[in-house]
Amino acid sequence: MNGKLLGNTGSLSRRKLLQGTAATLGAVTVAGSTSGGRSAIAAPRRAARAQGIGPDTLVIGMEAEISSFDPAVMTGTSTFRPVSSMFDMLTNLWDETTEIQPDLAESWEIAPDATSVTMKLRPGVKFHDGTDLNADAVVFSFERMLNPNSPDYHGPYAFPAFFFPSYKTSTAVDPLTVRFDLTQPDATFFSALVWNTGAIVSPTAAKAAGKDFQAAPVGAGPFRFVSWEKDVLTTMEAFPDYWKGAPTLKTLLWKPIVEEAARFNQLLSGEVDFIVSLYPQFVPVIESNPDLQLIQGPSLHTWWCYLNMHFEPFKDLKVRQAMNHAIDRQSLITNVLQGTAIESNSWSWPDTWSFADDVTTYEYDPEKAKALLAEAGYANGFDLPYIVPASGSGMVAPKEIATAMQADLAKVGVNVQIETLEWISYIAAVGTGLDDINGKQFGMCQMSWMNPVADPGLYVEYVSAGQGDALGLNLSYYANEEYNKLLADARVSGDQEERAELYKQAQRIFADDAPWLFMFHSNFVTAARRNVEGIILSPNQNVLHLEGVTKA
Amino acid sequence: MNVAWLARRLVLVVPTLLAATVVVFMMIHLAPGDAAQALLGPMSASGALEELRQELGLNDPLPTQYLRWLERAAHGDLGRSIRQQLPVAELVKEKFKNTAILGVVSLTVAVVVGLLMGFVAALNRGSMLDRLVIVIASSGIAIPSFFLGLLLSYVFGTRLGWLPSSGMYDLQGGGGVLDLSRHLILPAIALAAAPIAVVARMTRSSTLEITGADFVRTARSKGLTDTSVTLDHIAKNALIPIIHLLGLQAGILLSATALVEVVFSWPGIGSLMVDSILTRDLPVTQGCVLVVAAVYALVSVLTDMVHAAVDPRLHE
Repeated sequence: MNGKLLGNTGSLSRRKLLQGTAATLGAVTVAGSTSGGRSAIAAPRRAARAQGIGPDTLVIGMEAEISSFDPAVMTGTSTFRPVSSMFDMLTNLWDETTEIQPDLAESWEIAPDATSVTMKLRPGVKFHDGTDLNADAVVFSFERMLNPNSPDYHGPYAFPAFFFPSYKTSTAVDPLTVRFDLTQPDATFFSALVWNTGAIVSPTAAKAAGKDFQAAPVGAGPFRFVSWEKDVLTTMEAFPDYWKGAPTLKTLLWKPIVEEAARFNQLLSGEVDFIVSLYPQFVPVIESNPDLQLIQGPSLHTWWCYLNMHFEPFKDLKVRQAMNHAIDRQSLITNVLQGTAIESNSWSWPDTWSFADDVTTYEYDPEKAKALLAEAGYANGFDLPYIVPASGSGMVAPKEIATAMQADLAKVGVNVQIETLEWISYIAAVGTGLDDINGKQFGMCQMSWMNPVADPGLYVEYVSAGQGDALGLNLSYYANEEYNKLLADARVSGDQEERAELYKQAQRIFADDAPWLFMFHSNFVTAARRNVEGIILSPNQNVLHLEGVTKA
Repeated sequence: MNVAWLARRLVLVVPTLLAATVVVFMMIHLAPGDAAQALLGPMSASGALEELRQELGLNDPLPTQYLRWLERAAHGDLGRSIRQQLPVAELVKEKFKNTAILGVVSLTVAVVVGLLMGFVAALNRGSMLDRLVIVIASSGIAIPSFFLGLLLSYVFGTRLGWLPSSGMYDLQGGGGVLDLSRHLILPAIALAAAPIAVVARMTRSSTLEITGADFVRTARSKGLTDTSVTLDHIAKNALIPIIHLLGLQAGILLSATALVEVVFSWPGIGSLMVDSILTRDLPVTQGCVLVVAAVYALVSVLTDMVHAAVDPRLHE
């Protein structure tokens, strides 16, 4: 284990050491509880009792403090999750299926030309402050974020504009019918309503609070806001008039515990009941501990490496194919990710409407990789500078993955030089492309994306089609007009079957051109104390459904 | 010690603080990425970045940003955090109070235990007790505080369930001095371990040195009792170098608290600072640094004052 801890640069970072320590400690617990005879259950119970937490309260360990309680302002999965307990959206994913399901909207109609969406609202829904949730409230929620000409506008807000780029205005057709009008045909607008940013807020509360809405958020979700003490605790209580019925739990306590190992320790001790996002090294520890349970399910997550097509060797298709053949993905999943992911061959997700199951796939075949490299004139391999984040965006162990890839690539003669950056530095570095990062060109980097719903249109152009000044996150500098046109056509079509065909066609081209090194689709991975029941994970990692959870 | 000396020392604190804020301001900007990118993550490469920078006022030139901050700070306004728009002054005050509780308790524990251990070891030089103290002291220095923290939280929090291993109070029905004390024990030990070791070693060696000094021999030959020699002559003189050491330890403690606070979810200024750096929330970082630097500077003035009061040679 010590060898593994040392990582690629030979430096032992604090985070790594902590993770290693906690994993060791965890392993010791398990050994102790099975062989020592003294029950490991008794101790945590005592601790839990000492904390005075009853069975109607769930304590959740978060990986970061909530950045804002206002849906217009908030960002990031770690904020979306807790806030999703207070706000409902128009649509949602309630269970493991990836189809969009009704939430505050009961039904909808997308105009054939994809320039408007009309939605029928659920009758009789109330906000936490007693205000009726009607078409006016929906219109208000969107106008305040997105329409600078509206008297209710409080913007500019960066995230709403990113998630709903084609929003023009919305209108209350009747008290329970709302129509969204778009600036241009855009089928992804409807899908984007699942983003937490599209949460419906109480107009009464938001008008009164203005920019301070984040200090007193009022939504129509299963739990309502009680208090917030920064870096200590966010308290929410059950909303008895929730439209699906009052939640079983009375109280949710959200505790930010940034340090990975400390968060896991607190789950072990029973100080928290439930944690989301955990380091894969903890998975075997959880599985062998009778007090804990691992709860995971498939999610709309894609994790890949960009192959910089301006980097000399990657200009050649054969080399990009060789890269894809050289990596033993299944081994990475088993040994590094502890089975918390599946292999990926595309930016769409298996078993969803847009997924092409007939694309070119690159099975692990180092001999073939070597042959392809030789054909391309790289029989002796080449040096590959590879930039990697320390964490971020649902990449649970990017450095460990990078190190394992380095070993795989060494077998085919590619000499990988890894440079690791802390997440924000990483984003700042790669955000303008891989060709010039402090004067150095990088050939490869990692990225991942958590989509809220099975519509690749919400991100695929951003990560693979941008050009020039609007490069976006197309860090491969991939430029294929046919491909870009397929994606653009798929975005503006109002017919889902037609969109599916276009996306499938695009995926085939993309797999053939191999501008990415395809890697994984990660699961939504959580862990809870054994006495917690009823946690349902949907494929949308941005939302936690805790209304049906019970604690024995 | 006179008033002019004290005034001069206090005035010198001001440029120190200014320098600290300038250095931190520059360092934060040397680190790649800003608050907008921290908020946007993978969406940073979109048009949203410029919009958010505008919204957060990050587009102004650096000197403008710094001078604007300085002007407000001079009026006691440390601005608002970029993330949650909280007033920094209040935030820092609240969190510093928590750190002060942890820090003062740890330092007190370190002084009392360290002095006792050092004296006992020195007065029983070469005994098993002496060797035990040396072993404990070496371990205390060798074990990093965050590692000891994890170990303590695992053994006493997770395994034995005797003590809570996170936070300052129980989440529900908490509060009060008793509750606070229970939560304090583990982080305070983790934080005090290194200074205990340093103080014990220093006390031991300085006591040994004094024990062999001429004036102690004189005192003994005068026929003074053992107790009188130990307390009035040895202890009093051995204390002088330790006072200086304590000033230094207070500073080291202040930096170690960041790691210990993170491990124990202690809502102090250390974890606030770490978090603000990772999210590039500059106003918060600046506020923290200002307070920490001020405390450090004042502790060093205070140390000199106590030193002067204890050591009559400095009066001349």
